[in-house]
This record gives sequence, structure tokens and C-alpha cells, in this order.
Amino acid sequence: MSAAAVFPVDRDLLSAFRRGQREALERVYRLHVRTIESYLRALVRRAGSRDLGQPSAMADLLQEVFARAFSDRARQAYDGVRDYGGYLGTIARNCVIDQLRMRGREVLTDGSDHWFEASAATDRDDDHDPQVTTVLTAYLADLQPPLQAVYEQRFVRGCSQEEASATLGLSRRSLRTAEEHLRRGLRKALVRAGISLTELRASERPLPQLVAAAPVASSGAPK
Amino acid sequence: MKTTWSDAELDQILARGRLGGPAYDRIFEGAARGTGRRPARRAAWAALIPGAALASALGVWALVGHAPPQPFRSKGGSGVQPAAVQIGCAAATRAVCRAGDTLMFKVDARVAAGYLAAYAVRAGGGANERIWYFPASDGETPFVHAGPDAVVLDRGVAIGPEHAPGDYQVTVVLSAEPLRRAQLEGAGAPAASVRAQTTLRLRVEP
Repeated sequence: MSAAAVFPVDRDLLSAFRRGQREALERVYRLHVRTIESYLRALVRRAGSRDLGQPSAMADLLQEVFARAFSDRARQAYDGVRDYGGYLGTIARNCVIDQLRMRGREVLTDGSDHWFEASAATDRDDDHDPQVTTVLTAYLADLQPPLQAVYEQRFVRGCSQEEASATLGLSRRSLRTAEEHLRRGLRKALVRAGISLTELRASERPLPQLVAAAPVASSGAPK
Repeated sequence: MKTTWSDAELDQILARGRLGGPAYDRIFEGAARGTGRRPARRAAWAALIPGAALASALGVWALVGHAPPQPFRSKGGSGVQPAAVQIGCAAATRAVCRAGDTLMFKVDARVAAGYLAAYAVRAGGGANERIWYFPASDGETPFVHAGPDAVVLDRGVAIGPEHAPGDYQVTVVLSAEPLRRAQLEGAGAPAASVRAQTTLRLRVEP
């Protein structure tokens, strides 16, 4: 069933969603999060805001979209008939506009970025440090099949723990342990390759001068 | 060489710069709670406020920062956002902190978000006599998610002997990326990364 069609045919879900039940919220979230993420990426790309396209900023935006959508007022305002993806898309667009305004940027002004058209656009992020990409590729190539399967489910497909556990036949605890193993292994691989997080950040291409920040403080020795 | 890659950073790398399953999980938890993202680890000196205590602190929140000498200012130049950041002690019943109290940070996530750095300078002391709060000694920096409400960080600062009684100026910086102490000690903070900053007054009594 498509995400767009779920509410009109599942009135129990709609009722639970309006009551703010966690399971209903999570089901709605999982149905839409990737489409909304793609839409947000398209919007910030169009706005030329590279900083909003960074993963941490994108996580901020996504959380803000769903926090607004999950507010009592927004849940009650949804009529249960309209395409909920479009409803979320409107919230997402407003969130981006708010963020751009906070940064003193020009806002999106035309209405041609209909949400599903934009979300269908390519959203591949090619802006990775090549050193890190090389280390990651080598690390993944050496993974044992069980860990590769966990990686595929969680980091490629973006599945929830519940989905991944069911697919792989693992307990959620085992899944979390495998994820920790993946992180620990990658951390070691990065260190072995001599990649410094500090140097990596320092070598990143400068962000556009969206704002003018004054020096934070005069010099001083850290404690 | 700094090697303290956080779980979130490793997750981003594993997901090749996208948002993977663990990130989606965290985002849902934050959206469902309407609160900020939890820091990955705690520093040795930092007090992790238990959930119940945090709720209690929210209920008895006492602003111990005096009237700020300068209001919170968006670096975008779009205006001033007063009281977007507040500091206070969970145990305070009046506007002071004492040794043993936990200093907490409250951010209005509607108007300010990002990685939070903070340090204090004692009034009358030299600028080089800083007491660093964040980034912590292990490099960890709390993160405040944009959201519909004010957020109290679940990581506080234990007021210890390094805080001699007196008045302090506490500088708080919110940035798009975690900043190192060295970046905050001069003009080295990447301008585009700093979203906002403010200075608050804090009084510590014996």
C-alpha cells in the first residue's frame, strides 16, 4: 500500500494517529520519512543552501517537520482524506522557508516545487571526503556476510530496527550489538588510515558565507 | 590526532552521508517527544541529569543568569531573539548557583539550534582563565535539535571548586558543526558555522 493511500483505507490508523498513539505516529513516520527527506534535499538544493543539506542539518529539518506534524493541532487539522504526503510536504516547505529566513536568505518564492515532483529528483549526495569513502569501501568489502546484511538493512535501506530484525531473524538486542560492531570497526579503520576528524573538518570546502559571525572571544587557554 | 568519532558521525559515514536507519530512529524519537537529541556520551565532569530530575528541574526552573548584557543574536542578522538561551541550576531556589549544584542549559529550539559550546570567565579575571563547559574534555558537544519547544540539555555541569564565588560571564555559541575549543579561543571559529551566540551572567555563591 502506498504511503499516500494509507489513511483513507485504514480508519483505525487515522483514529490512533489523531489520538497521538506512538505506534501510529511511528507507522506514519516510517511511511513518509524517506520521501520527505528527498523533498527537503530538493528544496535546500534549489535554495542553494549547502549547510542545510548537511546530514546533521537535514536531521534537524526532518525532526522539525515531524514534530510539527505530530503536534496535536496538526494531527487534528488533517482531514484524513487529502494526501497526507502532500500535507507533510507543505509542512516541510514551511520548515525550509523558516530556516532560510533565520539565515537571512531569500526564501522559495514560486510554487513550482510540487512536493512529489521534487522528491522524485535525484538526491544522491556525492559530497563526501574521498579519503573516508575509500576507507569505508574497503571496510565494507571485508565485512562478514551477517554484518553486511545488517549494514544493508540499517544503513543502505534505512530500515527501522523492527523491520531489520524481522528481515534478518535477529533479536533487536543482537541487531544493536551488530551495529555497534560496525561502528567500532569503522572507527578503527579510520584511525588505522590516519584520518583525523579534526583535519577532515578543517579540509572541508568552506561553506557559503551565509552569516557574518564575529570572533567569539579573545584568546585564552582552555582549562 | 582526534579520534573521537561520535556514533552519529560514524552512522553518517556508514550511510554515505545520508540518513540511515539509526538516524531515522533518533529523529523519530525526537519528533515524538518534541525534544532535543541526546548527547552520545557524557564527560567525566558532567552530570547526566536523570529523566525524573530533569522533569523536576523543568518544573522549578530558576533562571540564574542575570539580565543578559547582550540578547541572543542570530548571526543571520535577521534580528534579536531575547532569552533564547538560559542557564540555571537545577537545585536553585533563588538566582544563584552554589558548589555542588548542577548548571543546566535551556535553549528555545524554535529560534536556536545546533551544536552548543559554552565557557565561563570570572568577572575581573583574565580572558585566559576560562572554565570550559562544552566541548567537554573528551571533545563531546551537546546538540540541540530545532523543535517546537524549549529544550533543557540532559547534560549539566557540576559546579565544583573551579568556580570560585563571584560573578561570571558565560558565553554560549550554537553552531552548525561541533567546534573545538581552539576554534573558540580566537577568530578561528568558522563564520559560516556559527549560527548564534550570547553572553549570560552567572553568580556563584559559597
